Amino acid sequence: MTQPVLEIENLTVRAGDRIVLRDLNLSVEPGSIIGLSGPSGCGKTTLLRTLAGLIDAEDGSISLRTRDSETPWVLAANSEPPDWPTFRRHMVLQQQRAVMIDDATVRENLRLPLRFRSHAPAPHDNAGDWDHQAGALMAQFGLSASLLKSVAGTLSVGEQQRISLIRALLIQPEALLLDEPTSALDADSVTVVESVISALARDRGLAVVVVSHDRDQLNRWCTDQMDLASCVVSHAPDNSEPVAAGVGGRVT
Amino acid sequence: MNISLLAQTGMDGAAGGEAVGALALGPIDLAIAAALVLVAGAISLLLRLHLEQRLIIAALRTVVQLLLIGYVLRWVFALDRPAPVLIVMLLMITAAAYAAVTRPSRTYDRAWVSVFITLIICASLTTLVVTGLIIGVTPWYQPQYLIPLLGMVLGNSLTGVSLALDHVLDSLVKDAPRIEMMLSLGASRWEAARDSMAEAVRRGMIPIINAMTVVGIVSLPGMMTGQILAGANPVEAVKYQIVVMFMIAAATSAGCMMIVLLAYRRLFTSRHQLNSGAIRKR
Repeated sequence: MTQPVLEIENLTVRAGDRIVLRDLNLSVEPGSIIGLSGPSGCGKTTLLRTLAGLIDAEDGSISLRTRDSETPWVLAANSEPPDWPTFRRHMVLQQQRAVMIDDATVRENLRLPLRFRSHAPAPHDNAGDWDHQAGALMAQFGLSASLLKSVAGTLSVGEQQRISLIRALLIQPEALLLDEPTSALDADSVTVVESVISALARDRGLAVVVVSHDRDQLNRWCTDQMDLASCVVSHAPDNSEPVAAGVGGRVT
Repeated sequence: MNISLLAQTGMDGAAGGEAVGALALGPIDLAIAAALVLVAGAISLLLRLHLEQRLIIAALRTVVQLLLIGYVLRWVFALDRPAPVLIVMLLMITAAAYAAVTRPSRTYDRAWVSVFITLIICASLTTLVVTGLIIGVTPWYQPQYLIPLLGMVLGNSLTGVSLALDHVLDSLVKDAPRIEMMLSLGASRWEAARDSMAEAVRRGMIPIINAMTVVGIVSLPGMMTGQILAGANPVEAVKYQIVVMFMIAAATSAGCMMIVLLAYRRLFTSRHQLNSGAIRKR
Protein backbone atom coordinates (compact mmCIF):
# COMPACT_ATOMS: atom_id res chain seq x y z
CA MET A 1 0.00 0.00 0.00
CA THR A 2 1.25 3.48 -0.80
CA GLN A 3 2.22 5.57 2.13
CA PRO A 4 0.67 9.01 2.37
CA VAL A 5 2.83 11.96 1.25
CA LEU A 6 1.29 14.26 3.76
CA GLU A 7 -0.24 13.42 7.11
CA ILE A 8 -1.90 15.95 9.34
CA GLU A 9 -2.75 14.87 12.85
CA ASN A 10 -4.82 16.76 15.40
CA LEU A 11 -3.80 20.07 13.94
CA THR A 12 -4.92 23.13 15.88
CA VAL A 13 -4.09 26.60 14.64
CA ARG A 14 -4.76 29.86 16.39
CA ALA A 15 -4.90 33.30 14.82
CA GLY A 16 -4.60 35.88 17.56
CA ASP A 17 -6.98 34.65 20.27
CA ARG A 18 -9.29 32.82 17.86
CA ILE A 19 -8.89 29.12 17.15
CA VAL A 20 -9.20 28.84 13.37
CA LEU A 21 -8.57 25.11 12.97
CA ARG A 22 -9.23 22.57 15.67
CA ASP A 23 -8.02 18.96 15.79
CA LEU A 24 -7.83 18.60 12.04
CA ASN A 25 -6.82 15.24 10.58
CA LEU A 26 -6.04 14.65 6.94
CA SER A 27 -3.92 12.23 5.03
CA VAL A 28 -2.94 12.80 1.41
CA GLU A 29 -1.68 10.01 -0.81
CA PRO A 30 0.64 10.53 -3.76
CA GLY A 31 -1.29 11.59 -6.83
CA SER A 32 -4.40 12.75 -5.02
CA ILE A 33 -5.88 16.19 -5.39
CA ILE A 34 -7.65 17.31 -2.24
CA GLY A 35 -10.12 20.16 -2.54
CA LEU A 36 -10.74 22.39 0.45
CA SER A 37 -13.95 24.35 0.58
CA GLY A 38 -15.86 26.31 3.16
CA PRO A 39 -16.98 29.89 3.74
CA SER A 40 -14.50 32.75 3.95
CA GLY A 41 -12.67 32.84 7.24
CA CYS A 42 -13.10 29.14 7.98
CA GLY A 43 -9.35 28.61 7.81
CA LYS A 44 -8.63 27.35 4.29
CA THR A 45 -5.77 29.74 3.63
CA THR A 46 -4.60 29.40 7.23
CA LEU A 47 -4.34 25.63 6.74
CA LEU A 48 -2.23 26.04 3.60
CA ARG A 49 0.02 28.60 5.30
CA THR A 50 0.47 26.30 8.27
CA LEU A 51 1.35 23.38 6.02
CA ALA A 52 3.95 25.53 4.28
CA GLY A 53 5.37 26.42 7.68
CA LEU A 54 4.66 30.14 7.27
CA ILE A 55 2.69 30.13 10.51
CA ASP A 56 3.03 27.88 13.51
CA ALA A 57 0.44 25.39 14.60
CA GLU A 58 -0.60 25.50 18.21
CA ASP A 59 -0.86 21.76 18.46
CA GLY A 60 -0.71 18.62 16.36
CA SER A 61 1.73 17.46 13.75
CA ILE A 62 2.33 17.60 10.02
CA SER A 63 4.51 14.97 8.42
CA LEU A 64 5.74 14.99 4.87
CA ARG A 65 7.28 11.97 3.19
CA THR A 66 9.73 12.62 0.37
CA ARG A 67 11.08 10.33 -2.34
CA ASP A 68 14.69 11.01 -1.43
CA SER A 69 14.48 10.07 2.22
CA GLU A 70 13.20 7.22 4.34
CA THR A 71 12.38 9.40 7.31
CA PRO A 72 9.57 11.90 6.89
CA TRP A 73 9.82 15.56 7.82
CA VAL A 74 7.79 16.19 10.92
CA LEU A 75 6.48 19.53 12.02
CA ALA A 76 5.10 19.31 15.50
CA ALA A 77 4.56 21.90 18.16
CA ASN A 78 7.97 21.30 19.67
CA SER A 79 10.02 19.60 17.01
CA GLU A 80 11.98 21.60 14.55
CA PRO A 81 13.01 20.26 11.17
CA PRO A 82 16.68 20.91 10.61
CA ASP A 83 16.20 23.03 7.54
CA TRP A 84 13.02 25.00 6.85
CA PRO A 85 13.90 26.27 3.38
CA THR A 86 14.51 22.72 2.16
CA PHE A 87 11.30 21.54 3.79
CA ARG A 88 9.35 24.24 1.97
CA ARG A 89 10.78 23.16 -1.37
CA HIS A 90 9.17 19.77 -0.84
CA MET A 91 5.80 21.36 -0.14
CA VAL A 92 5.41 24.54 -2.14
CA LEU A 93 2.68 27.03 -1.41
CA GLN A 94 1.19 28.95 -4.29
CA GLN A 95 -0.48 32.05 -2.87
CA GLN A 96 -3.83 33.27 -4.08
CA ARG A 97 -2.46 36.43 -5.62
CA ALA A 98 0.47 35.57 -7.87
CA VAL A 99 3.56 37.45 -6.79
CA MET A 100 6.25 38.28 -9.30
CA ILE A 101 9.45 40.23 -9.01
CA ASP A 102 7.79 42.93 -11.07
CA ASP A 103 10.85 44.56 -12.60
CA ALA A 104 12.54 41.28 -13.56
CA THR A 105 11.83 39.32 -16.72
CA VAL A 106 9.66 36.23 -16.77
CA ARG A 107 12.78 34.08 -17.27
CA GLU A 108 14.44 35.63 -14.23
CA ASN A 109 11.27 35.06 -12.26
CA LEU A 110 11.17 31.43 -13.28
CA ARG A 111 14.81 31.03 -12.30
CA LEU A 112 14.24 32.62 -8.89
CA PRO A 113 14.30 29.30 -6.95
CA LEU A 114 17.76 28.59 -8.39
CA ARG A 115 19.13 31.59 -6.49
CA PHE A 116 18.33 30.15 -3.08
CA ARG A 117 20.90 28.19 -1.14
CA SER A 118 18.37 25.50 -0.38
CA HIS A 119 18.54 24.67 -4.08
CA ALA A 120 20.70 21.56 -4.28
CA PRO A 121 21.94 21.25 -7.87
CA ALA A 122 20.70 17.96 -9.25
CA PRO A 123 21.11 16.57 -12.78
CA HIS A 124 17.61 17.66 -13.71
CA ASP A 125 17.82 21.23 -12.60
CA ASN A 126 20.87 23.11 -13.78
CA ALA A 127 19.94 26.42 -15.38
CA GLY A 128 19.79 25.08 -18.94
CA ASP A 129 17.63 22.15 -18.02
CA TRP A 130 15.56 24.40 -15.81
CA ASP A 131 14.81 26.69 -18.75
CA HIS A 132 14.02 23.67 -20.89
CA GLN A 133 11.52 22.38 -18.34
CA ALA A 134 10.09 25.86 -17.96
CA GLY A 135 9.60 26.08 -21.72
CA ALA A 136 7.84 22.73 -21.78
CA LEU A 137 5.50 23.73 -18.96
CA MET A 138 4.78 27.10 -20.56
CA ALA A 139 3.75 25.32 -23.74
CA GLN A 140 1.50 22.99 -21.77
CA PHE A 141 -0.12 25.94 -20.02
CA GLY A 142 -0.71 27.66 -23.34
CA LEU A 143 1.81 30.44 -22.79
CA SER A 144 4.02 31.64 -25.63
CA ALA A 145 7.78 31.28 -25.17
CA SER A 146 8.14 34.91 -26.27
CA LEU A 147 6.86 35.87 -22.82
CA LEU A 148 10.20 34.80 -21.30
CA LYS A 149 11.81 38.10 -22.23
CA SER A 150 8.89 40.25 -21.04
CA VAL A 151 9.08 42.19 -17.83
CA ALA A 152 6.91 40.31 -15.35
CA GLY A 153 5.08 43.43 -14.17
CA THR A 154 3.64 43.97 -17.65
CA LEU A 155 1.94 40.57 -17.76
CA SER A 156 -1.78 40.16 -17.21
CA VAL A 157 -2.86 38.78 -13.84
CA GLY A 158 -3.87 35.53 -15.52
CA GLU A 159 -0.45 35.15 -17.14
CA GLN A 160 1.26 35.91 -13.84
CA GLN A 161 -0.85 33.30 -12.12
CA ARG A 162 0.24 30.63 -14.58
CA ILE A 163 3.90 31.72 -14.56
CA SER A 164 4.04 31.53 -10.79
CA LEU A 165 2.40 28.10 -10.92
CA ILE A 166 5.10 26.98 -13.37
CA ARG A 167 7.76 28.40 -11.06
CA ALA A 168 6.36 26.31 -8.22
CA LEU A 169 6.22 23.16 -10.37
CA LEU A 170 9.82 23.59 -11.53
CA ILE A 171 11.00 22.92 -7.99
CA GLN A 172 9.41 19.47 -8.33
CA PRO A 173 7.80 19.42 -4.91
CA GLU A 174 6.21 16.33 -3.38
CA ALA A 175 3.15 18.35 -2.49
CA LEU A 176 1.70 21.47 -4.00
CA LEU A 177 -0.54 23.79 -1.99
CA LEU A 178 -2.75 25.91 -4.23
CA ASP A 179 -4.81 28.84 -2.95
CA GLU A 180 -7.43 29.74 -5.55
CA PRO A 181 -5.01 28.89 -8.38
CA THR A 182 -7.37 29.75 -11.22
CA SER A 183 -9.12 32.83 -9.80
CA ALA A 184 -7.73 35.12 -12.50
CA LEU A 185 -8.09 32.77 -15.46
CA ASP A 186 -10.60 32.54 -18.27
CA ALA A 187 -12.59 29.33 -18.67
CA ASP A 188 -10.28 27.80 -21.29
CA SER A 189 -7.16 28.41 -19.22
CA VAL A 190 -8.86 26.97 -16.15
CA THR A 191 -9.43 23.71 -18.03
CA VAL A 192 -5.80 23.66 -19.19
CA VAL A 193 -4.41 24.29 -15.69
CA GLU A 194 -6.64 21.61 -14.19
CA SER A 195 -5.64 19.01 -16.76
CA VAL A 196 -1.90 19.76 -16.51
CA ILE A 197 -1.98 19.48 -12.71
CA SER A 198 -4.09 16.32 -12.88
CA ALA A 199 -1.58 14.79 -15.31
CA LEU A 200 1.33 15.66 -13.00
CA ALA A 201 -0.51 14.12 -10.09
CA ARG A 202 -1.21 10.96 -12.08
CA ASP A 203 2.24 10.62 -13.69
CA ARG A 204 4.60 11.92 -11.03
CA GLY A 205 2.57 11.23 -7.92
CA LEU A 206 2.37 14.92 -7.07
CA ALA A 207 0.04 15.46 -4.13
CA VAL A 208 -2.12 18.57 -4.39
CA VAL A 209 -4.16 20.43 -1.82
CA VAL A 210 -6.30 23.07 -3.47
CA VAL A 211 -8.49 25.77 -2.00
CA SER A 212 -11.30 27.07 -4.17
CA HIS A 213 -14.61 28.86 -3.78
CA ASP A 214 -15.80 27.19 -6.94
CA ARG A 215 -17.69 24.02 -5.96
CA ASP A 216 -18.00 22.94 -9.59
CA GLN A 217 -14.26 23.17 -10.02
CA LEU A 218 -13.60 21.08 -6.92
CA ASN A 219 -16.20 18.52 -8.02
CA ARG A 220 -14.70 17.97 -11.45
CA TRP A 221 -11.01 18.31 -10.50
CA CYS A 222 -10.42 16.81 -7.09
CA THR A 223 -10.10 13.21 -6.08
CA ASP A 224 -11.29 14.04 -2.56
CA GLN A 225 -12.83 17.03 -0.87
CA MET A 226 -12.97 18.42 2.59
CA ASP A 227 -15.40 21.01 3.81
CA LEU A 228 -13.56 22.89 6.53
CA ALA A 229 -16.76 24.42 7.90
CA SER A 230 -18.57 21.16 8.48
CA CYS A 231 -15.29 19.29 8.63
CA VAL A 232 -16.50 16.37 6.57
CA VAL A 233 -14.33 14.57 4.06
CA SER A 234 -15.92 13.09 0.99
CA HIS A 235 -14.63 11.20 -1.99
CA ALA A 236 -15.45 12.28 -5.47
CA PRO A 237 -18.37 10.01 -6.39
CA ASP A 238 -17.55 9.81 -10.07
CA ASN A 239 -13.81 9.61 -9.70
CA SER A 240 -12.40 6.15 -10.10
CA GLU A 241 -8.78 7.10 -9.47
CA PRO A 242 -7.21 4.64 -7.05
CA VAL A 243 -5.89 7.54 -4.95
CA ALA A 244 -9.43 8.29 -3.83
CA ALA A 245 -8.86 6.05 -0.86
CA GLY A 246 -6.20 8.39 0.39
CA VAL A 247 -8.26 10.58 2.63
CA GLY A 248 -9.01 9.26 6.03
CA GLY A 249 -9.51 12.61 7.60
CA ARG A 250 -12.24 13.63 9.91
CA VAL A 251 -12.46 16.61 12.13
CA THR A 252 -13.85 16.37 15.58
CA MET B 1 27.30 65.45 47.79
CA ASN B 2 24.79 67.05 45.49
CA ILE B 3 24.90 70.31 47.31
CA SER B 4 28.63 70.54 47.10
CA LEU B 5 28.51 69.71 43.41
CA LEU B 6 26.07 72.51 42.82
CA ALA B 7 28.12 74.98 44.78
CA GLN B 8 31.20 74.09 42.81
CA THR B 9 29.32 74.50 39.55
CA GLY B 10 28.13 77.95 40.38
CA MET B 11 31.67 79.07 41.09
CA ASP B 12 33.35 77.50 38.09
CA GLY B 13 30.51 78.47 35.84
CA ALA B 14 30.94 82.10 36.67
CA ALA B 15 34.67 81.87 36.09
CA GLY B 16 34.28 79.98 32.80
CA GLY B 17 31.95 82.56 31.27
CA GLU B 18 34.73 84.77 29.91
CA ALA B 19 36.66 82.25 27.87
CA VAL B 20 34.34 82.63 24.84
CA GLY B 21 35.88 84.15 21.73
CA ALA B 22 32.65 85.35 20.15
CA LEU B 23 30.95 88.59 21.15
CA ALA B 24 28.68 87.91 24.12
CA LEU B 25 24.93 88.34 23.61
CA GLY B 26 22.85 90.27 26.10
CA PRO B 27 19.12 89.98 26.89
CA ILE B 28 18.30 92.79 24.44
CA ASP B 29 20.02 90.93 21.60
CA LEU B 30 17.92 87.87 22.35
CA ALA B 31 14.76 89.97 22.45
CA ILE B 32 15.51 91.34 18.99
CA ALA B 33 16.05 87.76 17.78
CA ALA B 34 12.67 86.84 19.27
CA ALA B 35 11.12 89.54 17.10
CA LEU B 36 12.35 87.60 14.09
CA VAL B 37 10.03 84.76 15.06
CA LEU B 38 7.18 87.25 14.77
CA VAL B 39 7.85 87.35 11.03
CA ALA B 40 6.99 83.67 10.89
CA GLY B 41 3.91 84.35 13.04
CA ALA B 42 2.79 87.16 10.74
CA ILE B 43 3.06 84.89 7.71
CA SER B 44 1.02 82.25 9.49
CA LEU B 45 -1.72 84.79 10.29
CA LEU B 46 -1.64 86.29 6.81
CA LEU B 47 -2.03 82.97 5.04
CA ARG B 48 -4.29 81.51 7.76
CA LEU B 49 -1.96 78.61 8.29
CA HIS B 50 -3.12 78.21 11.91
CA LEU B 51 0.47 77.61 12.92
CA GLU B 52 0.66 80.44 15.47
CA GLN B 53 0.10 78.30 18.52
CA ARG B 54 2.56 75.64 17.41
CA LEU B 55 5.03 78.36 16.50
CA ILE B 56 4.81 79.91 19.94
CA ILE B 57 5.28 76.54 21.62
CA ALA B 58 8.18 75.67 19.33
CA ALA B 59 9.86 79.01 19.98
CA LEU B 60 9.43 78.64 23.73
CA ARG B 61 10.80 75.11 23.57
CA THR B 62 13.82 76.37 21.66
CA VAL B 63 14.55 78.92 24.36
CA VAL B 64 13.87 76.67 27.35
CA GLN B 65 15.60 73.56 26.00
CA LEU B 66 18.70 75.41 24.86
CA LEU B 67 19.03 77.45 28.06
CA LEU B 68 18.59 74.28 30.07
CA ILE B 69 21.24 72.39 28.13
CA GLY B 70 23.50 75.44 28.36
CA TYR B 71 23.34 75.39 32.14
CA VAL B 72 23.62 71.60 32.35
CA LEU B 73 26.69 71.64 30.11
CA ARG B 74 28.30 74.43 32.11
CA TRP B 75 27.72 72.36 35.24
CA VAL B 76 29.08 69.14 33.69
CA PHE B 77 32.09 70.91 32.17
CA ALA B 78 32.95 72.32 35.54
CA LEU B 79 32.81 68.94 37.30
CA ASP B 80 35.69 67.53 35.25
CA ARG B 81 34.91 63.91 36.11
CA PRO B 82 33.91 60.98 33.86
CA ALA B 83 30.69 59.86 35.60
CA PRO B 84 28.58 63.00 34.95
CA VAL B 85 29.86 63.14 31.36
CA LEU B 86 28.81 59.53 30.80
CA ILE B 87 25.42 60.21 32.37
CA VAL B 88 24.83 63.16 30.08
CA MET B 89 25.89 61.03 27.10
CA LEU B 90 23.49 58.30 28.14
CA LEU B 91 20.65 60.80 28.48
CA MET B 92 21.44 62.19 25.03
CA ILE B 93 21.41 58.71 23.51
CA THR B 94 18.12 57.87 25.24
CA ALA B 95 16.52 61.05 23.92
CA ALA B 96 17.87 60.33 20.44
CA ALA B 97 16.56 56.75 20.55
CA TYR B 98 13.15 58.03 21.59
CA ALA B 99 13.15 60.57 18.76
CA ALA B 100 14.31 58.01 16.20
CA VAL B 101 11.67 55.48 17.16
CA THR B 102 8.76 57.95 17.07
CA ARG B 103 9.48 59.14 13.53
CA PRO B 104 8.72 55.98 11.49
CA SER B 105 5.03 55.40 10.78
CA ARG B 106 5.26 51.82 12.05
CA THR B 107 6.85 50.19 15.03
CA TYR B 108 7.18 46.87 16.85
CA ASP B 109 7.36 45.86 20.48
CA ARG B 110 10.39 47.31 22.20
CA ALA B 111 11.64 48.85 18.97
CA TRP B 112 13.18 51.59 21.08
CA VAL B 113 15.47 49.01 22.68
CA SER B 114 16.79 48.11 19.21
CA VAL B 115 17.30 51.78 18.43
CA PHE B 116 18.91 52.44 21.77
CA ILE B 117 21.38 49.56 21.33
CA THR B 118 22.11 50.75 17.80
CA LEU B 119 22.81 54.33 18.85
CA ILE B 120 24.75 53.46 21.97
CA ILE B 121 27.08 51.21 20.00
CA CYS B 122 27.39 53.11 16.73
CA ALA B 123 27.28 56.71 17.97
CA SER B 124 29.31 56.41 21.14
CA LEU B 125 31.92 54.09 19.63
CA THR B 126 32.48 56.41 16.68
CA THR B 127 32.66 59.42 18.97
CA LEU B 128 35.14 57.75 21.29
CA VAL B 129 37.29 56.61 18.36
CA VAL B 130 37.39 60.16 17.04
CA THR B 131 38.11 61.83 20.36
CA GLY B 132 40.58 59.16 21.45
CA LEU B 133 42.47 58.31 18.25
CA ILE B 134 42.10 61.32 15.97
CA ILE B 135 41.77 64.35 18.20
CA GLY B 136 43.64 62.74 21.08
CA VAL B 137 41.61 64.29 23.86
CA THR B 138 43.13 64.00 27.33
CA PRO B 139 41.61 63.10 29.67
CA TRP B 140 39.44 60.91 27.47
CA TYR B 141 36.19 62.12 28.99
CA GLN B 142 36.81 65.82 28.42
CA PRO B 143 33.18 66.95 27.93
CA GLN B 144 34.07 69.96 25.78
CA TYR B 145 34.86 67.48 22.98
CA LEU B 146 32.79 64.41 23.79
CA ILE B 147 29.41 66.03 24.26
CA PRO B 148 29.22 68.28 21.20
CA LEU B 149 30.70 65.58 18.97
CA LEU B 150 28.30 62.96 20.29
CA GLY B 151 25.48 65.46 19.79
CA MET B 152 26.37 65.92 16.15
CA VAL B 153 26.76 62.20 15.54
CA LEU B 154 23.46 61.46 17.27
CA GLY B 155 21.56 64.21 15.49
CA ASN B 156 22.60 62.87 12.11
CA SER B 157 22.61 59.15 12.74
CA LEU B 158 19.16 59.26 14.31
CA THR B 159 17.85 60.65 11.03
CA GLY B 160 19.49 57.81 9.14
CA VAL B 161 18.42 55.18 11.63
CA SER B 162 14.80 56.31 11.69
CA LEU B 163 14.67 56.46 7.87
CA ALA B 164 16.11 52.96 7.64
CA LEU B 165 13.73 51.66 10.30
CA ASP B 166 10.80 53.37 8.61
CA HIS B 167 11.63 51.79 5.29
CA VAL B 168 12.35 48.32 6.53
CA LEU B 169 9.09 48.14 8.51
CA ASP B 170 7.13 49.60 5.63
CA SER B 171 8.69 47.13 3.23
CA LEU B 172 8.16 44.10 5.46
CA VAL B 173 4.45 44.96 5.58
CA LYS B 174 3.93 45.99 1.98
CA ASP B 175 6.20 43.37 0.44
CA ALA B 176 5.06 40.58 2.75
CA PRO B 177 3.51 38.67 -0.18
CA ARG B 178 6.79 38.82 -2.11
CA ILE B 179 8.81 37.79 0.93
CA GLU B 180 6.47 34.90 1.69
CA MET B 181 6.50 33.88 -1.97
CA MET B 182 10.29 33.55 -1.75
CA LEU B 183 10.08 31.70 1.55
CA SER B 184 7.55 29.31 0.00
CA LEU B 185 9.96 28.62 -2.83
CA GLY B 186 12.72 27.65 -0.42
CA ALA B 187 14.40 30.97 0.32
CA SER B 188 15.97 31.37 3.74
CA ARG B 189 14.73 34.30 5.80
CA TRP B 190 17.94 36.12 4.92
CA GLU B 191 17.48 35.55 1.18
CA ALA B 192 13.86 36.62 1.35
CA ALA B 193 14.54 39.76 3.39
CA ARG B 194 17.78 40.89 1.76
CA ASP B 195 16.25 43.22 -0.85
CA SER B 196 14.08 45.03 1.69
CA MET B 197 16.98 45.34 4.11
CA ALA B 198 19.49 46.60 1.57
CA GLU B 199 17.05 49.21 0.31
CA ALA B 200 16.38 50.36 3.88
CA VAL B 201 20.10 50.81 4.59
CA ARG B 202 20.48 52.66 1.31
CA ARG B 203 17.62 55.06 2.16
CA GLY B 204 19.10 55.72 5.58
CA MET B 205 22.49 56.58 4.13
CA ILE B 206 21.31 58.94 1.40
CA PRO B 207 20.97 62.08 3.58
CA ILE B 208 24.55 61.93 4.86
CA ILE B 209 25.90 61.23 1.36
CA ASN B 210 23.92 64.21 0.09
CA ALA B 211 25.24 66.32 2.96
CA MET B 212 28.82 65.30 2.21
CA THR B 213 28.28 66.18 -1.45
CA VAL B 214 27.10 69.74 -0.89
CA VAL B 215 28.98 70.63 2.27
CA GLY B 216 30.88 73.90 1.90
CA ILE B 217 28.99 74.79 -1.29
CA VAL B 218 25.36 74.87 -0.29
CA SER B 219 25.73 74.49 3.45
CA LEU B 220 28.22 75.72 5.99
CA PRO B 221 27.97 73.26 8.85
CA GLY B 222 27.05 74.60 12.27
CA MET B 223 30.13 73.34 14.02
CA MET B 224 32.52 74.92 11.57
CA THR B 225 30.56 78.16 11.62
CA GLY B 226 30.61 78.08 15.39
CA GLN B 227 34.36 77.63 15.54
CA ILE B 228 34.88 80.46 13.08
CA LEU B 229 32.54 82.71 15.09
CA ALA B 230 34.56 81.86 18.17
CA GLY B 231 37.66 83.15 16.42
CA ALA B 232 39.24 79.94 15.14
CA ASN B 233 41.33 79.80 11.98
CA PRO B 234 38.87 78.75 9.21
CA VAL B 235 41.29 76.11 7.91
CA GLU B 236 41.52 74.55 11.37
CA ALA B 237 37.74 74.67 11.61
CA VAL B 238 37.48 72.96 8.22
CA LYS B 239 39.78 70.15 9.35
CA TYR B 240 37.51 69.50 12.29
CA GLN B 241 34.50 69.58 10.02
CA ILE B 242 36.04 66.98 7.71
CA VAL B 243 36.62 64.68 10.67
CA VAL B 244 33.06 65.27 11.83
CA MET B 245 31.53 64.55 8.43
CA PHE B 246 33.38 61.25 8.15
CA MET B 247 32.51 60.39 11.70
CA ILE B 248 28.83 61.03 10.99
CA ALA B 249 29.02 58.99 7.78
CA ALA B 250 30.55 56.05 9.63
CA ALA B 251 28.09 56.20 12.53
CA THR B 252 25.10 56.62 10.20
CA SER B 253 25.93 53.72 7.91
CA ALA B 254 26.80 51.43 10.79
CA GLY B 255 23.64 52.56 12.58
CA CYS B 256 21.41 51.96 9.55
CA MET B 257 22.83 48.49 9.07
CA MET B 258 22.53 47.64 12.72
CA ILE B 259 18.93 48.81 13.19
CA VAL B 260 17.89 46.90 10.08
CA LEU B 261 19.62 43.75 11.34
CA LEU B 262 18.07 44.09 14.79
CA ALA B 263 14.62 44.59 13.27
CA TYR B 264 15.24 41.55 11.06
CA ARG B 265 16.14 39.46 14.10
CA ARG B 266 12.94 40.51 15.81
CA LEU B 267 10.61 40.12 12.84
CA PHE B 268 11.79 36.86 11.31
CA THR B 269 11.56 33.69 13.37
CA SER B 270 14.18 30.96 13.53
CA ARG B 271 11.67 28.92 11.52
CA HIS B 272 12.18 31.31 8.61
CA GLN B 273 8.78 32.93 9.00
CA LEU B 274 7.98 36.59 8.59
CA ASN B 275 6.17 37.77 11.70
CA SER B 276 4.57 40.79 10.06
CA GLY B 277 1.84 40.73 12.71
CA ALA B 278 4.40 42.09 15.15
CA ILE B 279 4.63 45.31 13.14
CA ARG B 280 1.96 47.85 14.01
CA LYS B 281 1.00 51.36 13.07
CA ARG B 282 1.98 53.86 15.68
